[in-house]
Amino acid sequence: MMLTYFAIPLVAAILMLMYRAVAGPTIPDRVLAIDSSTSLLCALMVLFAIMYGVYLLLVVAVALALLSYIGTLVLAKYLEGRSVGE
Amino acid sequence: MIGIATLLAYALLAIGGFCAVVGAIGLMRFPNYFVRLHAATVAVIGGSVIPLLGLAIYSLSIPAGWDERALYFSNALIIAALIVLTSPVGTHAMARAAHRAGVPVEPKVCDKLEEASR
Repeated sequence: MMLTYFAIPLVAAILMLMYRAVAGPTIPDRVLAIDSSTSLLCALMVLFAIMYGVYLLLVVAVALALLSYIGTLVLAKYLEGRSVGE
Repeated sequence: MIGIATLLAYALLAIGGFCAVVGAIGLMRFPNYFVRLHAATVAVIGGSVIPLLGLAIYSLSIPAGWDERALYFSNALIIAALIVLTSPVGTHAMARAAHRAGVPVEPKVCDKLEEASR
């Protein structure tokens, strides 16, 4: 199926973002990498839902999009009163 | 025979994959956090919203019932709208919090926020 080839760059991008999430020198780098990879994972989940006909994955993708936003805002509020050791 | 809508969906998916890889390479290679934010925007908006629009167009032509196609179409559009609305807010809050927490701006050219908050 043609959609399989479009999943490859998304998976490669998520792997590269995971490198930044593991090796990022500061905490905001890790938060940024995980936030970006969550958005890419939403697109990948919709792609797999259409590819395999599993429409329950759409619910997971909506929940993941909302949850990553809330997590980013909470971590931003947490970091605001605190200095990052570098 | 491949329709014009499927062809448009494939084009959007190809652009999205290209933007995702370019944004991820930028997030790996750029020197400091505030430059990496720039690449992350490319990875999120270009690599995730544009494929979702392409998948919404693609899902109209899959061999399934009309209700299942409508489910895929509407959910892809809703997730794209959610990411477009929430990603700039989260990025802006994260950038402000990181600057206030003292993340170093290493090759510094100009830092107006530091001058204003002094």
